[in-house]
Amino acid sequence: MLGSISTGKSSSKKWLDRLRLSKGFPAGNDLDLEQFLNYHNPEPELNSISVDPSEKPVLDRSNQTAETPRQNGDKEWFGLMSNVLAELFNMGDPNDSSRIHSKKGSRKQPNPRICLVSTPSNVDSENDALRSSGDNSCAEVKQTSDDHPSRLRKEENVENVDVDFGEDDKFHADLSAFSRTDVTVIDTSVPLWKCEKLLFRRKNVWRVREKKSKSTAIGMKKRKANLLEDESNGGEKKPKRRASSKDANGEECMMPSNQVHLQSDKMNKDQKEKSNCSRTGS
Amino acid sequence: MGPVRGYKKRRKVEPNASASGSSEEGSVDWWDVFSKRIAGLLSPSEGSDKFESVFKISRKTFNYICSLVKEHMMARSANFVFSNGMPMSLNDRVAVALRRLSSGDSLISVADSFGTNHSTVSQVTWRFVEAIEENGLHHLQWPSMEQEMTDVKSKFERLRGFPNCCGAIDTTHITMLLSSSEMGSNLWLDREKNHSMILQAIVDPDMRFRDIVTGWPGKMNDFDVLQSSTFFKLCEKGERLKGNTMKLSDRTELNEYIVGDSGFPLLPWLVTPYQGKELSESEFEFNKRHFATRIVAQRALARLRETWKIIQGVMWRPDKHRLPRIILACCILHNIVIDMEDEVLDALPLSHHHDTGYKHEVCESADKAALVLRDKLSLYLSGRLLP
Repeated sequence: MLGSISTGKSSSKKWLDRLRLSKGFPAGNDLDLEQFLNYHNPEPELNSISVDPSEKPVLDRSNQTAETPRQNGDKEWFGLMSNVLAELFNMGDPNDSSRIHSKKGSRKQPNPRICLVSTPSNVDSENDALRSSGDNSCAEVKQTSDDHPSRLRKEENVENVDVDFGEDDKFHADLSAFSRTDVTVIDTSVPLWKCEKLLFRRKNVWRVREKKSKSTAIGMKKRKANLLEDESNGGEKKPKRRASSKDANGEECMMPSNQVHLQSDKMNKDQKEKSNCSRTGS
Repeated sequence: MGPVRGYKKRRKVEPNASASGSSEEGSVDWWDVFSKRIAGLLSPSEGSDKFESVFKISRKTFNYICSLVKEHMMARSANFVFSNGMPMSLNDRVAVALRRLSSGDSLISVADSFGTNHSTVSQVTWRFVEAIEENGLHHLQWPSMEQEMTDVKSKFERLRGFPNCCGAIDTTHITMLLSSSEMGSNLWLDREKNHSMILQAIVDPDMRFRDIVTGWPGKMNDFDVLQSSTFFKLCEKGERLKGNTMKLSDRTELNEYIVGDSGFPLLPWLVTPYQGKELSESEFEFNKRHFATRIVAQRALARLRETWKIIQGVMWRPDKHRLPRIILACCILHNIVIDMEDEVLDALPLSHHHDTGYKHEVCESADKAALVLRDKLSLYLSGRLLP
């Protein structure tokens, strides 16, 4: 069978050379990438990254290949190959979408922003934060966070939102020195009168944070409660004023997280105002 | 052979039907049957034949509470039974829960006296606590209507002349015996070296709880708990005690306020007594009136703990997430008895000792404007404030 294939050739060249030529590659065994590129791209600067967006080296390259005696169908294939290589080695203009035939999204940011390092005012940074939503300006995010410590705390402590009643607002860094206890507090002045809080204590200094529930925790508690239930959950549930779910053995099911957010944010504001009042009042 | 379709559904319904329609809806009165069941099981001194002596409430209040909790207590098919296999009716369940809360006896003791097991007593009581929380919280609310607040103020003024006073605040300690593992943390260790949970209550002149905060550990002092409360925040923001002012003189207006002992700070909306030993005559008189006004809070807390004895003694290793809810349920029951104008109120002693063994705290914090206002209020009460 192998012999039958070799005898079927009409040309005197090897099949590999013919294949290379038919696809636009130079023939020969001593072919390497450098040679291949030079063969099709005589300009030495093509291997460097083009800074001027007006230059279109890939297109130039394809124009040059038109001078070589090849068929038109081969040009397309060569164009594809050069595009792949250009992509791989970052040789060309990233905005030149014509050389990328597939609809692959660009990894680069289409409209890059300048990273601002200078410190703007609070109002400006707020506006910057609004403007920068969606882009990847790390410096801006960091700067905004510095201007808004509460926001930074929320990002860092996703579970805990501050509702402290303390002397200052600068305790967040050293909470590790505090002992921590989960408490359930009833406060009938709040519509959501039952809530779980994290109580931090160091000597006579107390810090309180809302305890935010997780969806997994709710599921787990519910399952646990069901296991402990003395009754089956056959009855219908009417809307309840409070956030806890039923249990038979005192297992606490936590509040929905959205309610905790609202509550926490409100409490946080309240606490800040309170601390101001208490400082001025006493 | 598989189960017949609808079998489970029928099975769930059965106890409900039997529970709600067993003894109390029949021709025989529920109490007649129930009192025979518990006869001989309760101590003779308690007079088990008398309803009020067993449950600390009248039959009328009992029936109201049953109607309040019926939906929750009977919503899901509960297979609560006595030891003899008889299903528990709604009245039986409420009776078991009320007995557990009011007597303070152990689960086993209550179970033995009612002819059931301690697990059933625990579950029924907890379900009752949930039901009271859910359906009875309207009995414990800050006065929302102006007329209601006007009544509160006028009643306070009739006590000892304090005008425009809207409430009396006090705290008490619910003591606990913790497990050995919890003993290590002194978070719950209060100033008297007891492990306790704090209950802060604001009370109206009828000894009705109008606002409570509980769940905080005994280590915190009165001021800490007050500061953590929403009531404090609302007052500081001017969103509570913002009603009608009263003219003490042409140049002095008195906003709404509450009264509290010296463990609380003196604030424009919280009037505390004068401190120190060398008081002027008017200051001494002021303190006397102040004590007689705020005593309603002490009496309310004393009555609460006397009536609902589960929170009176030292609780044995309580679940600290459940205990605040039990306290709340007891406070709501306390208010229901008042709202129902229950005749048992007349028989209850008027003690004001609710925190036996606890010395009074002293808070040095005082608002400057509040100091001036207290002086003017003192002069007003003694009739010496210039117009």
